[in-house]
Amino acid sequence: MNIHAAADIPTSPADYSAIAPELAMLGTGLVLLLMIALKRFKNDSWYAAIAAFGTLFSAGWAIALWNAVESGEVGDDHVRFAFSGMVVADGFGAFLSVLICLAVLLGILLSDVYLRHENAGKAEYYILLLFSAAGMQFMVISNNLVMMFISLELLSVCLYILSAWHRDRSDSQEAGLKYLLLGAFSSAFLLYGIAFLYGATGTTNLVGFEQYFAENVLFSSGMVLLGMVLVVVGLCFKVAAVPFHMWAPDVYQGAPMPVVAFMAAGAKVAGFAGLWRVLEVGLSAYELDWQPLLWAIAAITMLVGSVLAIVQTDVKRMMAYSSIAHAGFILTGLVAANEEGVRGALFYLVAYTIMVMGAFAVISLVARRGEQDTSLEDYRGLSRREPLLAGILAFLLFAMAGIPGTSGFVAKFAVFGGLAGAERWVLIVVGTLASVLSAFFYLRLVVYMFMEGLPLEAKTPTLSRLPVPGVSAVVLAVTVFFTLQLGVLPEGLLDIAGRATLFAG
Amino acid sequence: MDAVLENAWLIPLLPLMTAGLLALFGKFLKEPLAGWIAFLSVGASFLLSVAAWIGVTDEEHETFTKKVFDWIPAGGFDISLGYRVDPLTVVMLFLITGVGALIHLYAIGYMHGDPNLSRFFFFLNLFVGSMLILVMANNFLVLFIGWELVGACSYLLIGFWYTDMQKSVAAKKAFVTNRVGDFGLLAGMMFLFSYFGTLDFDTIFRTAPSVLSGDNAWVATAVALLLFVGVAGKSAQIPLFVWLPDAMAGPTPVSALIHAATMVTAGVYLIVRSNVLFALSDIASIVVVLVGIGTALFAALIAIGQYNIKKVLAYSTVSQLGYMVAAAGIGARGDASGYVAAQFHVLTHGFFKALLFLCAGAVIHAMHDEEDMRKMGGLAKKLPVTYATYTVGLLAISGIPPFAGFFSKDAILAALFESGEWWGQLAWAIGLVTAFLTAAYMFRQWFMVFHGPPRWDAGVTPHEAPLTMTAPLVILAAFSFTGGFALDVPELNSLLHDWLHPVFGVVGGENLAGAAVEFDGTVMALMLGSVVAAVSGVGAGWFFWHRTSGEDRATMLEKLGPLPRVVREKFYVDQTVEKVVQKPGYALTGALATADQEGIDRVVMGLGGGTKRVGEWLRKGQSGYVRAYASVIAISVGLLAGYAFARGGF
Repeated sequence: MNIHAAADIPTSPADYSAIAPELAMLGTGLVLLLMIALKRFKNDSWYAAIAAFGTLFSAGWAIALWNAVESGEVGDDHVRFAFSGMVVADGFGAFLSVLICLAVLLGILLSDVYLRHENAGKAEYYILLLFSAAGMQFMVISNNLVMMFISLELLSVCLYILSAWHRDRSDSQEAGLKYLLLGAFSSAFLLYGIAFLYGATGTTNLVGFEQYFAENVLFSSGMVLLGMVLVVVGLCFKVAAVPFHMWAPDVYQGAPMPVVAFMAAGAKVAGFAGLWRVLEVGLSAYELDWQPLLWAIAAITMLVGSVLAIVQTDVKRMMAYSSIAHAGFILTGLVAANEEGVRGALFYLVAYTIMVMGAFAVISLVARRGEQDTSLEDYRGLSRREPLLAGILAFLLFAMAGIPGTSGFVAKFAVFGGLAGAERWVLIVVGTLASVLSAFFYLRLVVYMFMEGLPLEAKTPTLSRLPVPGVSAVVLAVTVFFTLQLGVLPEGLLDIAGRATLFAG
Repeated sequence: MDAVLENAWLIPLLPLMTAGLLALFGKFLKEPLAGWIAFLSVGASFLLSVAAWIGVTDEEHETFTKKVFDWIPAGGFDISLGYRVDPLTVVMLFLITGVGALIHLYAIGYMHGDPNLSRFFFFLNLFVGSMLILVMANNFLVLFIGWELVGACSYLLIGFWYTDMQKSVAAKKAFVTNRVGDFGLLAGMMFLFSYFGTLDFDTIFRTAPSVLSGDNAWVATAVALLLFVGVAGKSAQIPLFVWLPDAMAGPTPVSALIHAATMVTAGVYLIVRSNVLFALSDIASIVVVLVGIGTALFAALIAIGQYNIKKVLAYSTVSQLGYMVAAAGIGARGDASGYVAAQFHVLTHGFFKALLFLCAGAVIHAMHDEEDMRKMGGLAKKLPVTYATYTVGLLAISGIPPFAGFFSKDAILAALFESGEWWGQLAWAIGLVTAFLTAAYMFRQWFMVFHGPPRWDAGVTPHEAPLTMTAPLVILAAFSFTGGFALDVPELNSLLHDWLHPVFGVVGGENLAGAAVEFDGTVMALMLGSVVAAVSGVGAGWFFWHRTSGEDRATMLEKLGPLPRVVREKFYVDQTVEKVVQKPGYALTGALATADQEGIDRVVMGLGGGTKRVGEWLRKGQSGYVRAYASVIAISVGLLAGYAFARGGF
């Protein structure tokens, strides 16, 4: 597929408008850093507010970029390269950039509540969050493997620290360390893969790959394929695809709740974007080689995630496996490698980001201080104590299970539609099976909340009502509204996602 | 009557809105009021259904479809939400809203005093609305939404008294089994969507004979079989029937409405609705017919050995559903009209089975929640209305002319026999045996409950139920008597057949409704056969369970040797399913979990005695896991690199 063929790589200028959203994100982080040096606010919510405004600013730039791409201002093919082809301004990047801003925004709101009642507040937290987000944003616009690697490291290093943020909980420390060790390990594979690809083609530029493969015939493609496989490993680690998923349950269980929610959504977006750019732009000549690979990874990811979620008794761990299963569904959109499939995957990413943020907002409230109450038992009879919270969580779980009328259903339907177009029947059957299996554990939690009475020997017989801070209420209202809205009227977003698939130009 | 059809969406909306009302304000509605509001909303839906019926008649049986809105219209998808009113829908509307309203009325009396009354009616109304969505769907997706919703309601209502552990287990069983069915239905829909590009009924059924011909003929078989997995789940066919008898743990009105009259017939409705798809595949037809009639026989055998008054009726429901599925499977082969016969039996069964369940409810009510038939007996005089109406239902289900069940069951048997296929005639023979068994176990129940000396527990004083409960019984009894000959009698009356005719697709130039049955020698012989089977069944019931005294009657089966014990233990189906399906399922997931978290750890550290010590030592430091995880990554990378070399070479 000849996508960015008309590119003019070496001479593309230092075009700051192409990276304006990222600059806004980084800039806000730097402003916070300065503020800490100059003066400390008594109330940490100020930092949250500034971070939130910075994110909105970044989103505004990203939307402006989207509009520029749409109106053809950026270039003939709705694509423009900048900084010697290091980054690219196109619809795909702008779309995901906005999505990342959404994840950051909801993440900030969740964090504010969490940090205050865990007493773990520090302005540095928000700085790391913003830098990590900037890494994600750079990742989705990378057109060069070196750029991609640096972005990945930026986002990862910040996430390692954030995972270990909660100093009083040893779980959190453990999570950070594990994530760091395994993340470093997988980054090494990624780097190794980049080296192989460079060795085979003499460039690290994705469009450069494409041109090289168009102009040269290789005697043997072993080196390219090895490089491809290693790059795929590195990126699949970030999206927690099986068999590179094993860090996820431990890290999800230990890391602070808002970080988990942000990581589940943001890292998935970044990893997915990296995979798609490398495979569809850089290595489109090897489509027949990477499709079976992704096929297998997607299939086992969906199945393993769904099956293992069933045996979990801790809600955070269950959500980790759920996140793994969702990664599998999103990957099927890439396996289809057609416009419907990628559109479905993009829609899925948006829907998932919203659902997972809402779900973690409730889980965080139920867990109370110190994240004590996260076992399934703690949800027994929740509908009696907190009917509204239980109802909201049930709705979001229904959405994750893919019940019609929610965004989750449309998302699954959309990626499967892409698979049907590519005639990948077996994967459709596997996916349907996995989604049926996954309904078990989502609905099991609903059953605990609604149908099981209060615990026979309650830990605390008279549990007090759960206080719902206003910020959490906003997150819940937004996530429920959009989950429903995207489920009932998905046309608008499907349409936009369709124009962001890389195929449009 | 355009205005009526244009506004037919009100039919499901009324119960749904009432459900919402009850959910929000249930707390403030005092006891009978919640029930009456629920009842009135379903009654109003019934009146609207009558109007819709007139509307469809005026347009000369034309199908009315209306798109409400485009749901997923972008790109290659064409998914819209809409509804459809046609003769088949109208028949189902009458059944759901008519029987539904009566059961709501009954529930007002039956659930009297329950602290969660408004919640009960909330679920019940939600169910009615969902079931109406299911039958009014104009495409598979909307049907699927209804299908899932009724399943959820059933699940919620089975577990209504969730403080009782057993009931909550039954609810889970229903849920798990139905997921298997849903998987089939979903996969079938995926196939349809990829071959037709739409899930719209009209388009699919009109173009199916041409699209699914030649090289694509296998698709018809695949789709029909996948849809049938869904049918087997919802309509309790072998091997997915295990949930239905346990579902009787729910309140009796729920058993009557959901697990006898309406929801469980959704599967049969799906086959009749998709008649074209099933007619295109012989293999699918054979499977459907044999599974259906096998279920009929199997469940009837189990029913003979049951002592719980509701369990007998539950297995009887499974058995009758088997008849319907078999008839729907035989479809239009030969001169037969199996689809019409199936739909006919859906209707009559809806009347008499709802009646029988409600009678059982009245008995249970009178006996202070006693469900064991060994502790009943002699209730005929104490509960005269229940006794009389139960007897009508009994005669109807046993197939004694001129009661409703006779005509519908006879239509099914005739369709099976006249199909001219060996498997159809085999099914006919089995069906005849089942008819005999049906009469036998129903009369057994009748004798055990209403006749003989009382065997009540001390302190039980049976009393007739209040008017809200007996009035529905009388009305349903009237339908169970007239519902047969009023609708369809060979030669004399082809009302239902003519009415449903336009619903069926055309395959090979022939309408799948088949010809209306004419009265000839074969038909007469078949009818005679059915009557003989029924009457001898009654005789057997009388012979075995009338002459002996109460206690003997109850233990009669045990004296007959090992076979009846096997029958009473339900052929050990539950135990076998548990061993074959559930335990390995748990074991598999357990093993996977172990492999994922611990097994690999062990493999990495080496097997043997030191493993555990090393593992525990590592656990203290917590770093062993990371190493294990890293090893998994490394091994996977090795495998993938192998893939790269194998594909690319060096």
